Amino acid sequence: MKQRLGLRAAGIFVLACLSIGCLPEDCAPPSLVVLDAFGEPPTEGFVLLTQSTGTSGGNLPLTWEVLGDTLHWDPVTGHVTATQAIPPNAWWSVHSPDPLDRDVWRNTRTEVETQDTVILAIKVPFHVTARLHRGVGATVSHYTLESSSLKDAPAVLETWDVTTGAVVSDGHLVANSFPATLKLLRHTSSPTSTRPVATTEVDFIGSTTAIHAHWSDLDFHKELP
Amino acid sequence: MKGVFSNLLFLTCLVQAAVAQPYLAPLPDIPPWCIDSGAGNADVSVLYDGVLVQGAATVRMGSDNVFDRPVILVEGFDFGSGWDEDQLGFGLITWTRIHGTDPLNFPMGLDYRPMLDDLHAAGADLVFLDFAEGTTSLQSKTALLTHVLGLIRDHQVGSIPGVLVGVSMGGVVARMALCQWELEGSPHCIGQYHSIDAPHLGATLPVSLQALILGLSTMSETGLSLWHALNSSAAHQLLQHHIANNGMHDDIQDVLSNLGWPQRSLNFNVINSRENATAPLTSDPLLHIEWGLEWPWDVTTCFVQADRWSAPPSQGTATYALPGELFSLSGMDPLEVGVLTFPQPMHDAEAAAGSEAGHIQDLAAALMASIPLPILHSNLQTGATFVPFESALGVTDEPESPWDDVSTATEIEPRETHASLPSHHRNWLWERMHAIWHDSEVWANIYSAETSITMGWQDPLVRTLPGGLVTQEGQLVVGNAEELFEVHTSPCEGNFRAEDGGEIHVGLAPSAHGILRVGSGTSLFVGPGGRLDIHNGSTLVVEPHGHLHLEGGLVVVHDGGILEIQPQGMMGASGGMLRLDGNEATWNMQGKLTLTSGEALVVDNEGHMNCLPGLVMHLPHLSSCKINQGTEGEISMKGEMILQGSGKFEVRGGHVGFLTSGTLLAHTPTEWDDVEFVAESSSEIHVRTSSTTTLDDCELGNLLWHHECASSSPSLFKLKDCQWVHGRCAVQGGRARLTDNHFDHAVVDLDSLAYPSRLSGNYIHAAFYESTPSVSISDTPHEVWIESNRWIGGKGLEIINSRAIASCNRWEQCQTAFLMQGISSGCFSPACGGGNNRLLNNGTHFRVLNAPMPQLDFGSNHIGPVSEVVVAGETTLPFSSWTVQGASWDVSLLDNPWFSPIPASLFSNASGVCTPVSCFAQDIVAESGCDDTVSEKPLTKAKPLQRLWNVLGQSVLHRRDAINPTD
Repeated sequence: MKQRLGLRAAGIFVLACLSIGCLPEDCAPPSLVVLDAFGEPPTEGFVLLTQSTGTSGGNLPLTWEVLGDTLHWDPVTGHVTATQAIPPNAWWSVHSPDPLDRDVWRNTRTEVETQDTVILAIKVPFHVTARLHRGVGATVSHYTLESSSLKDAPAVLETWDVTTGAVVSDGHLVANSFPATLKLLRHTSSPTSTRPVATTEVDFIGSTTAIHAHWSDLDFHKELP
Repeated sequence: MKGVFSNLLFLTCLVQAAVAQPYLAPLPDIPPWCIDSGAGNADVSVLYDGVLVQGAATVRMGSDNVFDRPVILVEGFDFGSGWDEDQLGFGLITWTRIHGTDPLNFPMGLDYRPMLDDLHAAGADLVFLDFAEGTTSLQSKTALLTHVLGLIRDHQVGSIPGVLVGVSMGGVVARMALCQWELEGSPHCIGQYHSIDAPHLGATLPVSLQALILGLSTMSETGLSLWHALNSSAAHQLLQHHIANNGMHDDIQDVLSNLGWPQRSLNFNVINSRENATAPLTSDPLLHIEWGLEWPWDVTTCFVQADRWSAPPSQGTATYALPGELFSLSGMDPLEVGVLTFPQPMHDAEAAAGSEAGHIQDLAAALMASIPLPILHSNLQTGATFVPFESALGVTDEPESPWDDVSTATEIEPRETHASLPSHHRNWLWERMHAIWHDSEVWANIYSAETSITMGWQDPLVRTLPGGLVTQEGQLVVGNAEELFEVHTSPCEGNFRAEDGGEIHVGLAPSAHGILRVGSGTSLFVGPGGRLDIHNGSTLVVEPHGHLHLEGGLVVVHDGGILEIQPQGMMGASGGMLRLDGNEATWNMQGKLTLTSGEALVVDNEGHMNCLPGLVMHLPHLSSCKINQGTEGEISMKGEMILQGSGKFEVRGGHVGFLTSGTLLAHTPTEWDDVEFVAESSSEIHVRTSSTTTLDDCELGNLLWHHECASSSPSLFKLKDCQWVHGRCAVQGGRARLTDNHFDHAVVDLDSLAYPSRLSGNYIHAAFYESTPSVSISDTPHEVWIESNRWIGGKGLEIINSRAIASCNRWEQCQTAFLMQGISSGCFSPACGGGNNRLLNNGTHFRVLNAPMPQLDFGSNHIGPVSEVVVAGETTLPFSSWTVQGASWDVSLLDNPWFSPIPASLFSNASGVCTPVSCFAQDIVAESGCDDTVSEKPLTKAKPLQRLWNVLGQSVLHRRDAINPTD
């Protein structure tokens, strides 16, 4: 049920328009620091200061317009500063190819008012093989492959219901910081437990960064703590 | 919060400058269909339902500059409108944006661009279909795509199948176009169909957000255009829950359900989510923004809120207090206050597993940018689901998935942006697209054993069979020992032939298994000397509008092999043989079999022929289909089988089973010899024949057979030496010749028979209490010869408005042996050609119902014992007495041998009232029985005078000795 009241609030708006000046410290052009997941600025990419077209969407409602020139961050610090004053509700739009796959672009949009740093995640390819055979101890229910980093909560990449034989997994993990960790976890039933079988860490070493791991979880194989 | 600026300051500072583009869009090429006209215009249009549907089909030729590998990209829902010369397209999704030139508004272009460049480098020819009205209905878009596919097919060089990629709504459009094309039966020449997160079962948009858009529609042009998009045909069709539901979503789902899925293409699906990828939403509003005056006033002056879903009866609510002219920036407008509520869906579609889109963030940003007040508070939940996983998968309860392969989001990023193409999807797509060109490399025709090809074993593993020829001991083998290797004929038009020693093997003994699908618009020919073998575990499928043609060749279905002709699939024969070798060889026939005039198709069936709904056999003049079944072969009627034409259908030996709803409708002459018929159900007629029908030495169980033809062209129904247990044999309008059959609880119903017709030598058994006459003859003015038959039990012979001449028959233990009704004539006397009948131990020998009396005089009939009366009923003759002369009688019926009353209950109604008729026996003769020679069949037609046979082979010898004149 629609209710609509038409109220004159011209006074409020006049007041509002009068009030929205700026304090001297606020008038400084805003800035942003763009960092790649390995802690340094991306080698490629650009930043746009943007705003929703709002009123001027015309034939294209809910689109965005660019405010000013394309911006580039400082290659050493990742610092980028707007070259002109900007309106309220402007957004940074950051675009940068993934350093491990130039055909994959990271596109991030963030509010100027609330964000001053953007960290771009990197997709790290991995190839994992694991030999599984445990007949000693608690019954294995399944294995999982998990990734994590300081800034990435543990995320399950794959689950294997098989408990014996060889498994192979190819994929990507998404890292917001390095080193990134890839773990093979063994899950047992009665008693229920989850224990790491093997762990591989990777640091960002450039365009060849990848994880290749060959693990095994065999009887009498020494377990990691 | 950082500083804020006045609008005036902002407007003066705003400088539109050149913006860096990661890519520049390639310039379009002149579409091949425009080259002849010299025009470079990408405009395409078609009339649909009286309305012009327009768009742009923009082309980028492959690097080889030959239009031979079309890849058609179909855009989805686009709520932008109008042609943009800079963007070379309509609305938001344009030629340049899909090439990654606008990462701000169409970041997906960055995903698509690498693939588009790879396609170009591989020689693929991109056709991007951009609809002028991106929110028009699915049907309208489908019409335009169909038109464009036609242009492509007509101007393509070579016959490499194309790739059709439908993005979002475009995926549904592509599906509809392909299905409709296939339904019409012409080859669309699309080898791969790719659906990119298409909402096959619909998309979701939170009810509160829809309500908010409705509220905004009166406050700004932008709000109005958003509402127009939301209230468009496309949105109504696609949104699972629309606040202004008009039934269009359910209607289009019915349409899609009926259309099904493309069958002639490999179908691939990219889904931007996973099955368990639910949205991490809280119960907070999806969108809540407050504007007002900051310190020191701390006054909220306006706000907007779109609620999160909560279970019904709660409703989806949008609440707002916003400037009346929202985007005018005048600051002088009244506040519009609204609370809009609409019913919610029963389940939480906002959080369902699926992909997400940026609607909420984009709408919030637009609102933020449009109200010149500080934002005091904002809270967004932008992750609401847009296309549910189930919808993108598109499968409800179909037993088989329509997808040949599916690429879902990764475990680590289970919810992707709708219609995006991250690298893992893109690589997956590219591998599959590239395969089509491998598959379509036209290999040389097979002219010898050395050039034989095994599809499924030889690299590359080609799965498309193009047009070609195998001959001179060459072999084409479809199969693989490791898997059931499946091969399709090309989705483009084309024929493949085996002849002159050439062989096609689907599977190969002992271990290779395969499936060969002959699709719409393509044909498989087996010519003279050619051979097609379908081996154990393998199947040849002739799909709708596909064609298998025997031109004098041999098709062998081995034990365990299957030949399947699907509905609207076609099988033709001009000579040749089909062999079902072994009990487990199967021929599933659901399409159409057409023979060439004057040619015969011989089927040696040791296995199963399953006649499924939709089966039509067309047997033109002088053609014949002969099915030899030996003792093991079986034909199973599982639906209606129709025989058309004037050719002949013959079955010898084996079994014919009628399952529930299995029927045969034969307009052609049919001949059945030594066949065992069995029907599961007796609720409907199993066989309808209208042309000459012959059954010889057959067994029929529970079968209802109806032979009917026009009196102007009476056809013969001939039943000889058959055993019929339960069921009904009905002949209407034709000539009936029932000879030496055994009817056991089976009813014979003869109506309006043509001359000559006869029943002779039949044994007819029924339960004593049976209420239906065992044999009924009605409305037949020409005499029907009833000779040497034997009735045991039941109601015997009934004639209604008919004439019957009975000789040498025997009725025993019947309730009534002979029943006459209406204007009938029952002849038991030599005077009219009958006599020598025996009636023994019946309840009543003769019964008349408003009929004359049977003629019995001097017929040497034997009137045996009776449990009730000799004669009963009402006669139309004005008799007060009725005398039977010249019969032999059981002594228990008579007082004396000269003139004796007989047990009767007969009345005459000739005067309008019933008057009793006394019945007598006179001039009794000794029981002579029937002269065996009388009922004996003629030895040959060349000796007609030896015994004076009539045209039915019935002796009329005793006619010469008749002494009893007619009344």
